[in-house]
Parts: sequence; C-alpha cells; structure tokens
Amino acid sequence: MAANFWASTHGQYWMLDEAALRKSRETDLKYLKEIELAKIRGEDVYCFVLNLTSWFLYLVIAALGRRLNVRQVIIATAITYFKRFYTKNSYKNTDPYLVAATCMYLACKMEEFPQHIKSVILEMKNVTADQGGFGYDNQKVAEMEFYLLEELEFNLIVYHPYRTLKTLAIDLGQKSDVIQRAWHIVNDLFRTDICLVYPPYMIAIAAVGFVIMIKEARANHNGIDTRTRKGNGSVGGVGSGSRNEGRGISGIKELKQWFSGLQVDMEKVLEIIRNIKNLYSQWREVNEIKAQDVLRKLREAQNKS
Amino acid sequence: MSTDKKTKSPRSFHSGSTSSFTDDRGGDSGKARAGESAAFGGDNVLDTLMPLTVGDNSSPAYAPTSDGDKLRTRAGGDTSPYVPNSAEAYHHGGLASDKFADYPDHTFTGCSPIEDYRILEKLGEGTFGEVHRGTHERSGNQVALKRILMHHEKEGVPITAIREIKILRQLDHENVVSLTDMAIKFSNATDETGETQPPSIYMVFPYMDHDLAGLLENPSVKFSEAQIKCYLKQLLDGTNYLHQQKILHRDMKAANLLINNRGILKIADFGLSRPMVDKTLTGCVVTRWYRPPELLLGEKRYTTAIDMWAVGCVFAEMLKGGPILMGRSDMDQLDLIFDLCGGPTEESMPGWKDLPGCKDVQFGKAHIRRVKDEYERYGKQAADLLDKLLVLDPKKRLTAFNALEHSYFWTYPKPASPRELPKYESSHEYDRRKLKMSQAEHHHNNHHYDNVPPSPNANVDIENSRYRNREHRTKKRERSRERDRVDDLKLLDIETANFTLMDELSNRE
Repeated sequence: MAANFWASTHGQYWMLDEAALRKSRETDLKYLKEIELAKIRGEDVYCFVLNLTSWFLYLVIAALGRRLNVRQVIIATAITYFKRFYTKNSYKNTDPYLVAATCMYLACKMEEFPQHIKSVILEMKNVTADQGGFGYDNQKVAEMEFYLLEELEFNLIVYHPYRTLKTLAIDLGQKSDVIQRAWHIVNDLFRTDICLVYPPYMIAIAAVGFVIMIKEARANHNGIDTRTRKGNGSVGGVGSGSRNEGRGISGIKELKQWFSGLQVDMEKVLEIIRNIKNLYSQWREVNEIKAQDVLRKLREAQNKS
Repeated sequence: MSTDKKTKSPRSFHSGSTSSFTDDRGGDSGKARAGESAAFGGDNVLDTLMPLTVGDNSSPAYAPTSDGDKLRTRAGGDTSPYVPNSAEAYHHGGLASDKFADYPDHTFTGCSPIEDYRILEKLGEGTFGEVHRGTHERSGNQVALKRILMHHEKEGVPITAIREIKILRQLDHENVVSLTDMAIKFSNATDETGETQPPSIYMVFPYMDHDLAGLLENPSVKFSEAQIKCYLKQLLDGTNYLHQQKILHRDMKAANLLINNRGILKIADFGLSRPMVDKTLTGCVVTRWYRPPELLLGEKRYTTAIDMWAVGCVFAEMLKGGPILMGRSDMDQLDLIFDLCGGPTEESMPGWKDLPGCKDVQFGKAHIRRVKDEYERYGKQAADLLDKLLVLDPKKRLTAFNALEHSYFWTYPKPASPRELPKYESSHEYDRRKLKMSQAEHHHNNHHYDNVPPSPNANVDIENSRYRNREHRTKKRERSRERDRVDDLKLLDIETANFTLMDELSNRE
C-alpha cells in the first residue's frame, strides 16, 4: 500500500515540535525538582536526565525486540508508539516498562508479526530482570493496550526513514556503504525524539548527508583532494562495494552533487544533522546507571500514589 | 490526495517488505560509530556540509519513485504548512483538521469517548461483532457503530481488528466504507466472578440505509437493469481500487455491500481482509455461498481472483433476485458450482488435481457449462460478463479492471446515475434474519431472541494467530466438517456455528 505520508495520520497529527515535547515532560520535571532539588540544578540538567531516561528505555525496547527476534521496523514502530504515548503522559504516573511491553506487543500485531502476549511478557521479564523486574500478567498488558490505543487515537500507521533509505539506495546502489551507514544512524536516532519532530524522509536524507559529511571530513583529514575523481571511492577502504553496481555513486564529489540535487528543505535537514551530531557527542556521557536511578525514582513515585 | 495518485505509483511499500540491508534485524550498532563520529566532531564538520546545500538545484538526480514524488510535491516548497505549531494541535486534531481542509476525505477524528454517541438499535451481527445504529450527539449525524468482539480478551485486541483498522485507515474511495472515528467504552460493570469486564472498542462509520442482501430480500424492491449496472459498476470500481491497493477483501457478499439512499454502494466489513502477500494464507475465508472453487478445493495461495468470483456471485444474485449457489456444505457448494460452470478439467481449471481438497471430491456425472444459457434471459451482455466472472480457473477469471471495460456497461440501457435511483425504506439483511429467526422460534422454543445465530460468515481468520489453541481449532474444524456432512441440523450450538447455521436455516424454508 503505497500511501502518501502527508495524507497519513503520521503526517497530519503526529509531527510535533520541541515546545510540545518540552511541555509533555513538565510533570516529570516538576517531580524531579521536588525530590532532587538539592542534588541537581538547572532546567537543562533535568531535561538531560529525562532524555537519558528515554535513551535508556530505547535500550529496553530494542533489547525486548531482539529477544523476540523481530525486524528493525517493528522496534521502530514500538518506540514511536512509546514516544507518542509519553507526549501525553508522564513517566511518573504510568509505568514505562508496562507501556514499553504493550507498545512492542501492539507493534508486532500491527506489522503482521504477531507474538504471543505471554512471550512478550516473558522476554520483558528477562530484559528487566536486573532493573526491578516486570510484575504484570497478560490481563494487565491487554488492558494497557486499550489505553495505549486511546492515547494513540488509533493512529497506528507509522512511517519510518528506512523506506526512504531503500528508495535512495536505488540511486546509490544497493551495496552502497553510505546507505548502510545511514541505516545504522537511523537506528541510533530512535534514541532521541527526532522521529516525533521531523518527517521520516528528511531524517533519512539527513542521515545520508551526515555520512557523506563524515566521508569528506575523513578524506580531508587523510590529505586527499576530494576535487579529483581519482581514487575517490576507496578512501579509507570504504565505498569499494558500490563500484560494481554500475549505477552506484561512490565518489565524494559525485555524492555531494547528488545530495545537493535532492529537492528537500535543506534547512530542516541541517537541523536534523545537528541533532545527529548532538546524539553522538552525548554518547559518551550517557550513563545507564544514572538513567536507571532516575527511572527507579519515577517508578517509585508512581507506586506511592 | 487523489486516488489515482495513489494507485499509479508503481512501487508498493509493505510493512514487511524484505530488505537488502543486513542490519534489518534489530541490530544495535551505534557504539562503533559513536567513536568514529566523535573523532570528526566539532562545528567544522557541519561547515563542510554547507557547500552541499548551495549546490545547483537544476538537475535533481532523485529517482522518480513514489517516495520521490513525495519529496517533490511536498518538500519542494520552503515551508510546510502541515506541521502543527502548538502543543494543542496534535492532541485532538481539531486545529490540524482545519489545516488539512484540502483533504476533504480525511475526516477521521481519532478517538472519541463513547458518550459522544447515542447507541440505538442493532443493525447486524456476526462473528465479527455487532453493529448498532447511532447518532453523534453534537452533530446529530447518523452513524453505524461496530463493536469489536473480544474472542480472546486476555490477548488484547484481536489482530484481525487491528488489521481491519489499519486497512480502513489507508483506504479512501467513494465505494469503500470510510472509518470516521473510534470510540472506547471503559465499563465499571463486573461479571459474576467479580472481574471487571474488558473495555469495548467501537468503530464508527457513516450510517448506510441498506445492505444489498436486505434490499434483494425486500419483496417491495425490484431492481431495473440500469440500476443493476449502476451498482455493479460501483462494486467493480471499489474492488478495482482495493486490488490496486493490494488488499484482498476475502468476504465479499451481498450482505457486506452497503447502499444508501443517494444510490451509492460501498464495500464494507474488512474483518477478514488483509494485504496481499506471496505466501500461504488461510482457506477459512469468504462466506460459503460466495466461495470460489479454488478455495473450496483447498488452495492456500490464492489471489484477488477470489474476490472476483464473489463479485460474479453478487452480480448473478442481483439479476436473479436471490443468492445463486446456496450450498449446504463445502462439498455441496462445489457440486453446485460444477453443475453451473461445468466440471473441472485440465483445460477449464489447470492444476486442480494438485489441490489438497480435490481427493475428497466425487464426481457422479459429467457437467456441461451452462452459465450463458442460464442467464441469457437477463440479457446477452449480462450473461457474457457473468460467464467471464464465474470462471473456474482463477487466472482466466476477469479482473475488476477488465470487467469495467466490458460492453455490458456501454450498451443500452446505460448504467443509471446513482442520483436517479429510487429511495427505499431502510433494509438490512439482519432484519430479515431476525424475522426468520422468530419464525424458527416456533419450532424451537428453547431458543432466545437475543441469541440470534451468526450469519453464514466465513470462519474467523486464523493464520498468523499461532498463539491460538491449535487443538481447539482442529477440533472445531472437525466438528464443523462433521456438521457439513449431516443434512438435518440442529439450530443450537451457537458457539461453533459460524458459517453453517444460516445455510441450514435458509434451506429449511
């Protein structure tokens, strides 16, 4: 079913902006301030901690997905459901683990790869074994599904950048390392809220742009003139795979030319590329223990109320 | 979004399409590249990209694919008016829907509290759930509310329902029913064991005055030839659209074709439909009377041709004024088909001997194909079209697209325009069924009104639902097979009487 993204509910109702996302975190932020005022200061720190939490929950969902042996698209759908749900709810008031398991369960059904509700719960128990466990039975998950469906307003069809990457791969050649790398970057981007803010095809293009950028930076670093065609494709041992493709584009100059020929809002794409950069610069700071700690506090608060 | 824009696109993206990328399977590969990109971090990296953005736009190297179209048509502009800017915009789509005024067909409102609707009398019932008439409290619009039945409540919302919602949300055609809203009812009531009942989910559709089966059974309704052409044309238009969208309906029948008093026909009930895939599917689809020979013979790799057989049956039903092939069992159904369409031979149905179900078939006598002779009296063109639809070989059966080209639609009398068609008092198949039930009641006093048995629906979709109890399923199938063999059936045993009961009922009369 080739449908139009802009006519879909994803394009119509689920393109949010940063302000909306910030607003959706208010309850959690307020609570964190209450309990941890003495320890951490500053709004940004709280935001960072919450982003960290969302990063950590990505890992939980991805781990669950891998245990269930589902495709990347299903993981991406589950994470998008999860993020959409938490634009309207707070971690403090709903257990993110329950929501995560339910999102995965629903995403599997939605993407025609149904899983037994019990195996989702079982794997969720395994994944969360060292993080306080998962104490829900199928009835609870089934009930949660209703709330999830309600919060998602039955907008279940989610578009992902992978599809655009496949289309771009026609230009670049199926084996193009650019696409491969962009694919990995798109996977990584589900750690952030980017999928809620930008249209998926822009995310895909930005990921490709980022890869080209890195390639060029590396080539410059190695002191090779990118303006000459000679020896371009094999810089740093990459790009050689696409040479045999015939239609593939591999030289940096050609790649840049091809990229600038894409008719897309480049301002937005640059914004996303900045986000990608942020993501990777944060990578080292991410502290899973800290995230677990925050998450535990939020979950405790929920048990109290 | 115009429909032909969608249908023209050569590339279809399935959620499950295979990928050439090795990392498709849940790979979490970020860590390696994190270091790599960090090494090139810093603002200068961004700067290096800037030249990219000021490159020449004159020669877009972008491949003209459907995704590419999107980039061109939408992203070519500098701003996107489609991004709601306020936090409220996305919450209930209210703001957003104003912005999307250029998409008049996309009126889906998301999810409403059930209190927004007043639920009125029951319009229909089956394995899929119940349909009630209702009104939208604020607008006063008439709607049909279909409640999703929870067969396995501990498994949550059935995948068939998810599939139905997913498919309906992606469809947009005049002759396909449109899902306008969803509503959830959280009940506080408890059952005998003290457990709270699971919530109910309702799908909301615009109200349609009739279904085709109800109209045909209504003795005061007589279709003119132009009217039949008008309905059939709409049916084929809708079916063609579905098949172009790569959707198999799998339960095409007169009772699932809704008609309103503006003469518009809409294909409804997507409870069994699914996207086309190249793999084996369940054979437990399509109500028996409309089931094509290949399904009855056990074909598991069927195509859109199964819907076209049913369209042929509906067409003949409109001509004749009632269902044409009312088999009492699957075997009987095959007998009736071969009696009308001739027996299967290597020529009329290549490969039929390899189908798993054929060994059970006994052929008493050789049949001669007599579709044309039988329906000649309804017109030469009509008989010819029907003759090309009710074809044993699914590969030679007319497609919806080709059927629309048939001269039947281009000879006198021309298809009526929907507006000219007569208006009728609301007629639903279910009303007729209730009537029959109350007649049957005289013979079976142990039966209750509200336990009206389901219509001859196809069995619930079972593929992919490997989590269902297999044993139970096989037993159930065996039981229904057994029942098929028995001629004189009891009216009871509602639980397992999915598609046999109504057949029996109709045969009683």
